[in-house]
Amino acid sequence: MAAGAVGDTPWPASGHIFTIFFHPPEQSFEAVDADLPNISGSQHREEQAVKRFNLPGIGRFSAVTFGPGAAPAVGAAADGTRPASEKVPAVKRIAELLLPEDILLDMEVPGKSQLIDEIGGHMQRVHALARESVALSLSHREQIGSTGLGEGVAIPHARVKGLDRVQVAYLRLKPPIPFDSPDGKPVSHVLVLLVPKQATEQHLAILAEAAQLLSDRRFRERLHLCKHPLEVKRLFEGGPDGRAH
Amino acid sequence: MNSALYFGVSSNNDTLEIATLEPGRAAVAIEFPANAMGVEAIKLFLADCAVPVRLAVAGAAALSLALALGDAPRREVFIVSSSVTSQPVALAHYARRAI
Repeated sequence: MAAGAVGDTPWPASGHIFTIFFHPPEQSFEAVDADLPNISGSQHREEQAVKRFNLPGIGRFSAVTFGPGAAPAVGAAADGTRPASEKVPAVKRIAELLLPEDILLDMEVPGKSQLIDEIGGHMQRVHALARESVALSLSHREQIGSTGLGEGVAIPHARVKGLDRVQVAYLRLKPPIPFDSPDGKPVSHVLVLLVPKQATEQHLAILAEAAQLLSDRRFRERLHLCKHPLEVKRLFEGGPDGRAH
Repeated sequence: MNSALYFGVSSNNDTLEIATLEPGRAAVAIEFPANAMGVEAIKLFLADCAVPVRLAVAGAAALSLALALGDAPRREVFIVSSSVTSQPVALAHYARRAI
């Protein structure tokens, strides 16, 4: 990518990442680069930029990111156009995080608070986490709003200070318990999620995968039929269709 | 709003793609199912955010998504025309820069 100029400000040389934000209503744009002060320009200069980088119709987009060795990508695509200093963290799937000893089938608890106590006790027995700290964190989160998702599913979760890895547990309740879910249905599938303070992306990815799997009626039905923790783990590995997803 | 979190959400018929902008981290889009449970799962995540949240949403269900996700304190939602962009990372940048 050749270096250029907007007014007196040089375009970043080859190898730089920079982003141009277009503002069609104002017919103006800004170019942002880590190594340069923000610069702005008029429609005329935008047209120059479009011409320079051969991006037809670019004025209709709000952001364009240019990266080293890559064709200009519209909309700051997440491929090769991010600064080398930014690392994409490895995101683990539920099946990788869910250990057989963290799968408890047909647990009997009278209500949500007792469930949270049981989760705290389990995390202490199996993972040497402080029972009260886990229970308190989960309880605080439930006070913000129920973690029930509907369709008999809940994901009690909390960020736990000092945790060095994500902890996942699956509990199947028998009978289902009230959970203040959005659809009012009692909950029988409980996916517990304890995440370190700085695990935003992993947290989001697990919620996304859980929603993908557990919103499938067939998957929930198959979960109900599992007789052994390993069957549950295999089900999470295979997804709703029994295939790796 | 320097300590805010910025999200871009793009909806289509099958998926809700969400991207997060965090200081010093690459923005990566993650797919949720475009159904009630997918929306509830995103709401769960947003409810965990201890800082103000700003979202830009675009796509098929942008209006209903904006209403569902924006109904909370310290939260701003921008609805963006798909003709501007429908890519979640670009939407997250939009959320960061919108005034």
